[in-house]
Order: sequence, then C-alpha cells, then structure tokens
Amino acid sequence: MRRAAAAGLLLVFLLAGCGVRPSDVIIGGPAPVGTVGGARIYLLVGDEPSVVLRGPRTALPADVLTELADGPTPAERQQGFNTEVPPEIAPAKLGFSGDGTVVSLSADVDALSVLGVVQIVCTVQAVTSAAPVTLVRGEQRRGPLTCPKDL
Amino acid sequence: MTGFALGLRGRLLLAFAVLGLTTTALVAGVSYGQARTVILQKAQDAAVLSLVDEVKRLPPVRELPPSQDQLDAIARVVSAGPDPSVVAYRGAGASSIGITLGDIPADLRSAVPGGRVVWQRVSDGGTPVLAIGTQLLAERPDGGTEPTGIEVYRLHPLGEEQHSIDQLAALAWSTGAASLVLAVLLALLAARGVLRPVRELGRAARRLGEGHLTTRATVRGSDELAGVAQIFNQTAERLEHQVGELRRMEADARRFVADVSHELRTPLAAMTAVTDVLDEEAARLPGDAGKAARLVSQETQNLAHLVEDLIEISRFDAGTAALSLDEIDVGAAIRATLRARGWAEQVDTELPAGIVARLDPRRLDVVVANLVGNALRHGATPVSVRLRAAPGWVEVTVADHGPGLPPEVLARAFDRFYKADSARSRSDGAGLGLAIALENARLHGGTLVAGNGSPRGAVFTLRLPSGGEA
Repeated sequence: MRRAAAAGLLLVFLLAGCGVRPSDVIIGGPAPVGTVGGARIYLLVGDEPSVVLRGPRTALPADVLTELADGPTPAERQQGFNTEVPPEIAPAKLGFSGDGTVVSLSADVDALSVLGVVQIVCTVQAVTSAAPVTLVRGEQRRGPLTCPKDL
Repeated sequence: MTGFALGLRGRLLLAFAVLGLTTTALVAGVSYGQARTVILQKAQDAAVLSLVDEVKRLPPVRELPPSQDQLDAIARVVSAGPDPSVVAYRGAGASSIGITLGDIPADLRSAVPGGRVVWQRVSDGGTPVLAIGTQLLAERPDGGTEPTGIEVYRLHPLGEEQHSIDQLAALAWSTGAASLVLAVLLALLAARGVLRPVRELGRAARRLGEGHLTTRATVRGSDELAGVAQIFNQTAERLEHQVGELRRMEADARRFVADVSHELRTPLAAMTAVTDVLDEEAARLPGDAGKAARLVSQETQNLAHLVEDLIEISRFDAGTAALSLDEIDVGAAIRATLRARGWAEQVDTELPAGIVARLDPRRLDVVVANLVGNALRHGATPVSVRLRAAPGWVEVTVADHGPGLPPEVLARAFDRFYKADSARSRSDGAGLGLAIALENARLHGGTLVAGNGSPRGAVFTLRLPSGGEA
C-alpha cells in the first residue's frame, strides 16, 4: 500500500515536472538607465513626483522655474499629471550661498505643501547641481533641502 | 513482507524492478531537472540581457511625457530583432509592432514600475513564451536614477528550449525503460542462479524420500545454498549408512535362522525315524514310559513342522521361493485340500465348479489349509469357504463365526511368531502359518487381507490373479 503510494507520487512528480512550465514573475537586476535630453521639471502623478521634459537643456534655471509654476499642459493633465506648486512663485531668482543654492520665490514659502516643496527642490537641483536648496521669501526660509534619492 | 503469495522469482523481480526504477527515476529526474533549469536560465538570461542592452543604447528621449511619434521611434528600435516588442508610457499609450499591451501578463505589468527588470514564463496556446518587461530609468545630475515612465516589453518564444527539454525528457524516459529491462534481466538471472540449486535440492530430497538413499545433491561454489547441499549430502550419507547397517543386521539374522533350520533338519530326520519306532513300541511300554514315548514322538513332529515352516519362510526371505504354475480347477483343488485334512464335514463350502486359474497347486493348498485350520482352531463353527471368480481374479473367502479379531490383532495378524492369545498352548503352532500364507499370496502377485465379517467372526480374503503371475 505504502509502496504503491510512493510509486504513484514518484510518477506524478515525474509527469508534472516535464516540459517548460509557466512561472511567477521573476525580479531581476536594476532597470536600464538611459539619457534624456531637455530641461527637467517635476510634476505629480497622484502623489508621486515625476519628471517631464521641457525645452532645451540649456534653459536658464529661472525660466525652468517659470515653466514649473505654469503647471502641466492640457495634454499632460489628460495623462494624469498635476501640480501642487502655486503659479505665484514665479518670478523666482536663484543665488548661491555657502551652503548651496538659494531660491527666492514670489509666493509664501511657509504655505507651500510638502509635495510642492519637493517639486521645486528637485527641479532646481536638476538644472543646477546636487547642492542643497534653500527656499526663501524675505525672512521666510525652508531648507536647505535635497531631492529624495529614489522617486 | 507482503500479503501476496509471490515466489522467490517474483520477489526478486519486484525488488530489482523497484530498485532499478527508483534509481533511474532519481538520477534521470534530478539531471533532467538540472539540465532544464540550466537551459531555461541560459535562454532567459540571454533574452533579458539583450533587451536591457538595447534599451540602454536607445537614443536620448526628448519628450516626456512622450508623444506618439517618440514612442513609435523607441518601438521601432527595440523591435528590430526577431522578437515582438511593445512600448508603453505609464502602463498605457502603447506603441507596438506585432503585439499589443494586452498580450503581456498583468502580473508582469504591475511589477515593472518597481524599477527592476522582470520576466515571467507564460504559456501562449501551448508554446512557452518568456515575457520580459522593464522601465527606462533616467540618470540624474546627482548620480541617482529616476523612472521616466517609459516601459518596454518583449515576448521571447521558448520553442527551441522546449524542444531541447522534450528531447531530454524522452532520453530520460528511454533510459528508464532500458534500466527496467536491464533490471528484469538481471533479476531473472539472479533468480535462476538461486532457484536452480534450490530446485535441484528439492528434487534430490524427493528422491531420497522415495527411498533412493544413494541420491546426492550437487555442491556448487561455497555460498549458503552450497552449505545446505553439503548438509543434505551428509544427512543422506548417514541415513544410507544406517539403513544399510540395519539391512545387513536383518539379513544376518535371517541367514542365521535359515542356517539353524537346515542344521536341525538332519538330526530331526534321525529323531523322526527313532520316534516312529517308539510309536510302534509305545503301546507295549508300561505306564509312564509309554506316555513319555508318545509325548516325545508328538513334540518331535511339532519340531519337524516348525523347522519346515522356518525353512519355507527362509526361502521367501532369500527370494529363492519359486512358483510352479498349473492350470487347475480351483474349486476342486480346495475340496481336495479339505478332504485331505479331514475337514470336509466340518466346513460349509460354496465352491462353484469350472473356475480355472493358473496357480501353484501346492502353495494354494498351503494357504487354504492354514486359513481353514486357523478358523477351526481359533474361531467358532460354522466355518465357511467361498470361491468367487472376478474378471482376472479368483477370490477365496474363509469366514468363521467366532468373536472376530480385535483391532490390535488385526494389525499384526500376519507377523511372524505373533500369537493373539499369549496364554495359548505351544502345541497350537508357532505362529508362522499366516505369515507363510501371506508370502504365498504375494508370490502369486495376489493379496491376503484379514478383516471382520458381519455380524461377527473373522474373515480372511485371498485374491489371486487367475492368469498366473500378475
């Protein structure tokens, strides 16, 4: 009885193990990295900051911030992009101090949402350098901040 | 071990087959699995590497979110190879050549935004297909990476690998079949090696049991079976020796009796001659002397009878007793026997005339005289003698109306010197009569059987072949 059961099990094992069977999803190495051409600004898809490209790479940082303040185009909105950066931040001025980039905004810095701040910081870092960014308006300051490593 | 009544051969076959199958299944199964894994892994890794490489070398993306033209351009590049590919932006807006986004498994699509290359084997109508998906990442000035939302999927058919693996499986199956055949052959060979000595031993034991004491088993090699054969041979040898010894002793005893009988014969003849004279003179001898003379004469006659009987028995034992056959009327012969002994009036007879058989008349006379004499001496009247003829046989039945024979007497009635009643007087005979009667019947190829009649009385049945020797 037990022997028959063992033989049956073996047979089932043999038959089931034949051929190429479908598998679960297998997670491999990191995705390939390519290059993008153009100035990058960060809009939101849901709660996720996502990069979009605007104009040539050589655009001035202040112009890029103006683009960010303008928000997504109608086509981008259709694809689910939105923004939490108020249009009032433009015009903005960029300067450099000892501890990084200083961005002077035309809007209330303290009133900006966390995601809005992330959008501005990431966009500024994308057009300038990896140095931390401080947002100022008169006496109001936020920062120095850096764009999160993994978006 | 099991409830089945399997022979040694069956058990060996089963054991070898199970062993062979298990070993082959394990070895073939494990190596098949290993080979399959290696083949699939190699094919998958190559396909994944190729896709990753192609995506890495894409021209820089200029538009994000990409326009349809941009997606088409990417799709054209990644579809340059033989495998169909599809490009999508954030799970939608696909641009494809050959396939649609719907052909890609949903599980895989939901795993792609995780930022790693993912793949999955799926079955596409029976043919296995490898679905690979990845996102295009963009480099950031600070050294980090970020997803662009552009996703590339590719379906790589695994038909060739499937074919190779099927061939492997076929090889494994045929190896298994071959090993089963080999196991069965080996089992048969082993069973023959074991069973042949066992069968020979069995045959030798049967022959020994039938009385062929010279039978010996063949001893082959030095295994356990050879040991058994050796022990068998030793046993048979000892048995043969002991039986031979017994036979020799019995033959010696018989020869001694024969010799003694012969030696007694001559003095007895002289004594008989003297007692004949004494008998004649006895009447004239006074008182006790006459009684003594008659007693001596009587005992001498008894002794002469005993010696004659012993000599007769010795002849049977020595195998020198010979038949001298004659065509005789059996009824007439029996009647003559009864008349000669003076028993004709004491016995009821049923002797149909015309029953003729080839018998030795002297020996028939001895048998009938013994049986009727016994019946008259130990049984009760009326004593009857019946003759019947059966095809090929004549049957003589001697019955009395006495108490019959108790079972212990019945079993030993034909033994030599056996007396049913130990208190019987010596003069009744030495107890050799029935033994001689039986030997005579056997010499004819017939039988003599003792039994009890109904309602009472002993019955002796003599059956002799009517055609002479059987």
